[in-house]
Amino acid sequence: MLERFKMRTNLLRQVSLLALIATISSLLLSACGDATTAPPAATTAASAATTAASAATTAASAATTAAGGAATTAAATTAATTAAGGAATTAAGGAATTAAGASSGGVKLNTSVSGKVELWHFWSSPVRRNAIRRVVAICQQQLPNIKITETFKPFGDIYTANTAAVAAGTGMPDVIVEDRPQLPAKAANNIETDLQKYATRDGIDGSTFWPFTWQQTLYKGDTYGIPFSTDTRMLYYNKNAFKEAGLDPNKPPQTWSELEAAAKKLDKKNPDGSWARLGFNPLITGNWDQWATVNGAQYVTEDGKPHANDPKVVEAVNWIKKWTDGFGGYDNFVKFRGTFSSPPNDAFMSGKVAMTTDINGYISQLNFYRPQVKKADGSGNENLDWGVANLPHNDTAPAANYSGGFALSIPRGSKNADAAWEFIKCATGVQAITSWARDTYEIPANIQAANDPTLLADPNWQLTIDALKTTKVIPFASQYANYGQEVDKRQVEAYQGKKTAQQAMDEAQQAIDAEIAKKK
Amino acid sequence: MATTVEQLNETRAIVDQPASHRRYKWSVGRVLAFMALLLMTFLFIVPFLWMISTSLKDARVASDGKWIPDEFVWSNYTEAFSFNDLWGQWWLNTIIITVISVIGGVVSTSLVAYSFARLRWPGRDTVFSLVLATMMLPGIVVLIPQYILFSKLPAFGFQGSDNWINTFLPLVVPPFTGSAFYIFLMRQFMRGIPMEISEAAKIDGASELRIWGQIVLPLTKPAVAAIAIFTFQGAWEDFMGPLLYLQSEKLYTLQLGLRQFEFAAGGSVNWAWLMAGSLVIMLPVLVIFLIFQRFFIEGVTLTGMGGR
Repeated sequence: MLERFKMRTNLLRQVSLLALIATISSLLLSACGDATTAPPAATTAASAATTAASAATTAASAATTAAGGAATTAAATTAATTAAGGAATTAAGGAATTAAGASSGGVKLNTSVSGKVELWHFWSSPVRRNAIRRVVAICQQQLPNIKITETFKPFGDIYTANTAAVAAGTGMPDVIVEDRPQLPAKAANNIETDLQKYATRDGIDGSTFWPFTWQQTLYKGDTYGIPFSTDTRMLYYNKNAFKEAGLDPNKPPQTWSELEAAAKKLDKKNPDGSWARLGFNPLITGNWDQWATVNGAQYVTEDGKPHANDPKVVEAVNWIKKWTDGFGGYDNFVKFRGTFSSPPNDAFMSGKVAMTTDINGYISQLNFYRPQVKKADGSGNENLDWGVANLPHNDTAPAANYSGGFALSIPRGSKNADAAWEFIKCATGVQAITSWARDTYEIPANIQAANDPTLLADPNWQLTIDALKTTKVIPFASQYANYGQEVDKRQVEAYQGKKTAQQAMDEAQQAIDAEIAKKK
Repeated sequence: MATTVEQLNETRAIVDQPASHRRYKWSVGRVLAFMALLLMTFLFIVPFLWMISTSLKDARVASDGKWIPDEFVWSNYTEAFSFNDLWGQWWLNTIIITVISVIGGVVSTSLVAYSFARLRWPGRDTVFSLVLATMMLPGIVVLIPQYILFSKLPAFGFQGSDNWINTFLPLVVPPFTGSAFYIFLMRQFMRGIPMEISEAAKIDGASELRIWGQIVLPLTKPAVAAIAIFTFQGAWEDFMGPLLYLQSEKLYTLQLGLRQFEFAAGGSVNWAWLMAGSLVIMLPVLVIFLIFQRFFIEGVTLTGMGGR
């Protein structure tokens, strides 16, 4: 009897516990229902607030950059500069480009298009999040009939989510920020919308963008994304080390032979034979493809076929081998490289390597970390005094550079493609992208915006713009998109001396040819 | 040899001592075992300590390799959680999804396992093999088919969506359909409970549902605790599900929120904020484990059929 009673109380307890849990969860559910279904009003209010806030900040940035914060002043300047002909040439042009206008850098927006546009991006850092919100605010103002929302998705995974949504035919965004070098492959896999008919209709072609950025968006001659921002590779050098080694800190090496001479002077070994400081190595941050491109190798032909054994690729591999040999062998070099991690403990910021190559965005990292290096006499630390220069080129080849960056695309199946296109035109237009560049230090793909006078006020900016003029991209290898892995595997054998560069690259080419033959 | 009174008294004296005063007998084996255990503990705690250490460093020197930060930056915690004004919503979302998943997981698993373990019906073992067979399917294979399936199910405007995409439904409903591994675990556990208990209840007039709820479920507490912990952890730490199915930021979970620190340090990962955020988000898992582990120990005494 007692047992039964106990059992009953136990049951009571359990039932009441379950009921409690049920109540709590239903409460929570209704709370979340409230938070999600009721809020159109609340969210709109909130987004209106953010729009207002970003509008205010845009105005503020306009105020700090040039003329006055007042919209009327800026608008007046626009009129003035347009009359003078060309905003970029005028000194006051900085204000002109931030001012609101119906057209965005010559591109006409169709303001009568209405709809909702959802933008997916991966910019979560305070700087970039605010920057993209300003771009959205600028475009929201220019396209009043379109409701634009922006959503953060984690980098890399953003494409998993998008691919799943496109495959299902529902839930994809209307505009997505694409990694430009990957765009042709996405187009080939039928993930993106062909934008060529829009571009032709509205007269948008490669002429307003850096030629290589436009080229990267093309698949079978059609564009699948409009270039947004871009980067390029620069040479970074440690001025403290330059002074210590008796080099002129204002004269960075410009050619491969100058690079080798400078590196030799910068090399410093500890008494035990380990490296106290390495002058340079092309593999610290680069790879064969960077140096082959700098060497002028066109290792993928227009028909989409990779040519790994192109003489200039072989020359670049031989050149890299010279550096790893000088270090003391490739395997030792890999161990040395493995001791570095992300900034500020990377090879350059730690002061262990005096010269390195990296994207122009590395400048903002140097500004963020303000790294310290050991003084030459070993007494304490001092600020790393760094310089930027264009990539040194082969003495026998013209200057060349290598780049990636982003484009705005419309995922296949978007229900608001027309509105999305208007947003893309605005966001890649002069006014919006200039605002983005001022905030993020990323180079606008739009040439006119990249030459914005307020941006050019920074001497490093001019250097990166110069580098863009010689920047080249390798065509998309439609016949074998992953050809790079064949070269990656075999280049190592060349560095290790197991094979000559020619042999290694010939083998890579055979593997590539075999793979292409398999598909046919 | 006959036991002397002295020896008996001595034994009693040892037994009567409170546990904490009892002398621990050290042997070589014991020492080795302790050392091995200490080593394992150390291995498991190092990443955790590293997390704490990194979470208290200045973001600019977060990966300097030091165990003790030069300067304790407590503000990392407040900064990480004021980084985005949606954190509060994300906590709430994660709690809602997790609580419902745990309830669903425990109830459905237990019911299904009860049927497999304690009821006789034609084709039972075939169906059980089928359930087990679903374990062989890697999750990644069903990712997109599942997405397509959910996109075709109507949500009738729940959370402002016509179909299940961009609602909590793809995350909270599947746990109610059970999970093969937990069903297997629970079934094995339930088979260990003598049928006589059920039969006795049946004679008293209890229905199967009542036997399940009143007798079997309480007896399987340890298994329920284990499944609750695993489901909790799985739902709390799930990244792929929320990534695919939740598309508005106000529906995001904590795991998605953590990824915003990826480029927060001038374009690279802000490790200090990431570790501070991860640590706080990890705490509930730790607390839940400590609460539920009690049931594991309790379970040992419960399953006995003393005096049968």
